[in-house]
Amino acid sequence: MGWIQQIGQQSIEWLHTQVKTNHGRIVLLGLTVGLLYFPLWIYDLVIRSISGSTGLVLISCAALMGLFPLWQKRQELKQLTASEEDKIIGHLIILGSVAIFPFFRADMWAQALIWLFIMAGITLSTWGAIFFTQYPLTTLLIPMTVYTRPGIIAQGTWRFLMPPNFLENIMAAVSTQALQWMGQAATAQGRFITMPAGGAVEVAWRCNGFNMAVAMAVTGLLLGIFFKRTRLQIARLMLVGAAVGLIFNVPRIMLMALAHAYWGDRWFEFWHGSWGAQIFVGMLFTVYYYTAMAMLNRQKRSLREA
Amino acid sequence: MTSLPRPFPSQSASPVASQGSSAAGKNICTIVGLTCLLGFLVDTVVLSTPPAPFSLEWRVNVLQQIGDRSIVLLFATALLMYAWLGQRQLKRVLGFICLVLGVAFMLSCILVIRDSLIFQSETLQNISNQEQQAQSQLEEARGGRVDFPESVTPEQLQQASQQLANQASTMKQNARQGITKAGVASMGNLIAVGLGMLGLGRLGIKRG
Repeated sequence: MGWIQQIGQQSIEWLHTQVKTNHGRIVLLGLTVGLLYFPLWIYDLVIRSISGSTGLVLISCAALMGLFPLWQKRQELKQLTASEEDKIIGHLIILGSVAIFPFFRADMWAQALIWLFIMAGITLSTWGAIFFTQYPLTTLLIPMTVYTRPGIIAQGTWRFLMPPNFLENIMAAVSTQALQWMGQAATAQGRFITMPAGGAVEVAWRCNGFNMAVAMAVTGLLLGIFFKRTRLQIARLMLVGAAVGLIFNVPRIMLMALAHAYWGDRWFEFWHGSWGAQIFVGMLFTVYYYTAMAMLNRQKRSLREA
Repeated sequence: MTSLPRPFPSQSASPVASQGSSAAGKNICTIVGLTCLLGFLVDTVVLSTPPAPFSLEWRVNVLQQIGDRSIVLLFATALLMYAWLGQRQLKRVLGFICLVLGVAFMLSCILVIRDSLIFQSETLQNISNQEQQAQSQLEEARGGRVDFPESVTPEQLQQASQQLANQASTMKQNARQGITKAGVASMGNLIAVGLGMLGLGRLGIKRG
């Protein structure tokens, strides 16, 4: 238990030194907001991961990979100092964000954005603007971790650009075609799949595979960064990830339609609920893992040959 | 080459003339900068009266208009900054003002996003309510509680109901698109100008 005491003592010493300077006080003020946001963030992450969201895994990976370079170069980091201008800008950003924080207690995304501003302010006023160019990986990955639903921005952009129910209709049509190949007399009308044996199922936004595709693309990004691939190779990994996510959604919808038609509500709820989602996410990650590893191995071989 | 006459005296050849033109350039910058600033301020004051900071529509409107015009403000401060490059005190004050405005612009994005989200959901709710009202009137008509001319058949009523639903759905789609577009545009302007202001302010407060 000695190390806990040591860490505690060190943090108290750190607090003492922080309180003595203006910069330290402002940074502490900013960190207080982070402390207020943290319980909300972790609660949402855990709750959502229980219902089959990949957020917790992806966000922890992104956070670790973003912070690791800082730990590796901690001695160099100590040498970095901010110029007077950067300090002033950083302090203004922190103080402004702290001032508006109480007005946005109802919206989680707003708090995430404010916390991101505060982190940028702390970084700017402690290490200066050069930090963002010297640690590009941290600058890229840490903003992805502040909000528990990183896919929401991708989702908003998609819905803004695409006609309504675009992906839902495609998913319904493809799943119906596959069901017909299996000998089921299914028909698709828009985003509804009708089975003669019993009723229709609706392919709603949450079932269209978009979130899975985004999660898989982000996994591809993280894998690519972790194995230090080139940008083109990372783009390929992301693309394959998104494709695997979308393709995997088709059997999921087929299963749902079959469950609804033949096995009754209990099985439909099982596959539609958190258990079914967990099983599918597990299978999806396994398949993607082997695909990505095969791609990475081939890339490594071609690198060696070149 | 040396025998060719030069059409214009080069700038380095006459330092007095160059100094004069640079001073005139700075004066022009001061005049245009102050004019732009004044124009922006007048616009802002006129658009924001009567002030009602707690009303959603007022906020959405004012932030959008300020976002649209903020490029003028950036231009004005850039000209003034250039004109005052020699005056250290003035430059520093302007730099601080730029920094405060830049941070305010960046942070006001959060407000823009929230307001557009609320505005959007309120508008969609309104459309839904109106549709429901019209549908219930149609329902009453179908139940025979309202007297209609003989020529109106139940099929026609059914068709009208379907049309109403389609219309409402299109209206919702348009409202969603329109509000999102306006919000994204003003947010983009505010972020771009905010970053520009931060950059200008950084130059302004630099010592030496």
